[in-house]
Amino acid sequence: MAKVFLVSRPKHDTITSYLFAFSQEIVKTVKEMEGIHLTELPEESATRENLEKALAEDSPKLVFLNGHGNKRNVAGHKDEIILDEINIHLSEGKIIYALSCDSLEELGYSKSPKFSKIQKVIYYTRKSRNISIINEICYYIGYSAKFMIVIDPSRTASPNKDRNALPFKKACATLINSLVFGETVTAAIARTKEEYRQSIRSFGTSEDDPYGDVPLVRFALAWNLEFLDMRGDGEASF
Amino acid sequence: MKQGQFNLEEERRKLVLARFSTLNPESKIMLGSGEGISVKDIINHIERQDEFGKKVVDVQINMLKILAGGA
Repeated sequence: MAKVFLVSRPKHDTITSYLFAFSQEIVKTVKEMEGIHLTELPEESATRENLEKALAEDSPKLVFLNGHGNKRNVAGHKDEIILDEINIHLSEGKIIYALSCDSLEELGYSKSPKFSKIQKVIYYTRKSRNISIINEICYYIGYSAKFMIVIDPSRTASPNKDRNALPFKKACATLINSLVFGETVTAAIARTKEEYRQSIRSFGTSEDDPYGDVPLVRFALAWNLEFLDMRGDGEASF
Repeated sequence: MKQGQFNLEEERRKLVLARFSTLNPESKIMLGSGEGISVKDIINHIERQDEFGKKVVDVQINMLKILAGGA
């Protein structure tokens, strides 16, 4: 039975256009792979209704959400909120990778009452032992602060040709590729953090930096490195 | 603090401020939430020593450690 990979890819402004471009390669790769079924919600189809339907009916094990976000939610097309505390229970048992701002901070810790009884027992048992409670329900990967990108304003029409954005794209691709190819959540994050470190060391020289963006790119990479994290079972894999 | 006493936090803040001060103040980092933040805004946060400014200092120091091969 094929494993299901669900990806939402809105594309309605500059940032979502870049994220859309970042996920282009993994979508192409998965379409050519045997054993994985892709459910894609591109552009206008990245809606709450479609996400809920896909989560419920297709039972994806890996969910990749691209879009704007904040501490409490992740958005889709035209910033419609597609995942929040009200429907996070639909992500039970799934690996969620949210390429958006802040959502790990609260949504990643969500303890929806709609989660199954078995999982609630785990939650209450931990609570009674006064152990810090983490979300054991879904495996949530995301950023606990704003996700940062430095772009070349002259390249916004073609994000794949934007050299400033390339190291951010590589880090995002490293994470989703690692997950798709079956690495554990912990291993995928470690590999991505190393990719961020490598890019910080190697990105740019004064000769190819006419606008002086290199220090900002390095800072933004270091920022994303710092705040990329996960909640849940780090040994989970797709 | 007595005059002349070394304050590590203050020195870190000054170092990070000095580095951002060499950049074009209008250059921007795009945030995933949609808006952008300029170098000028980042410097203001560092000077105010607010929560975001303190995070910027920590991240920039960690970045320097990576560049120096220590992280």
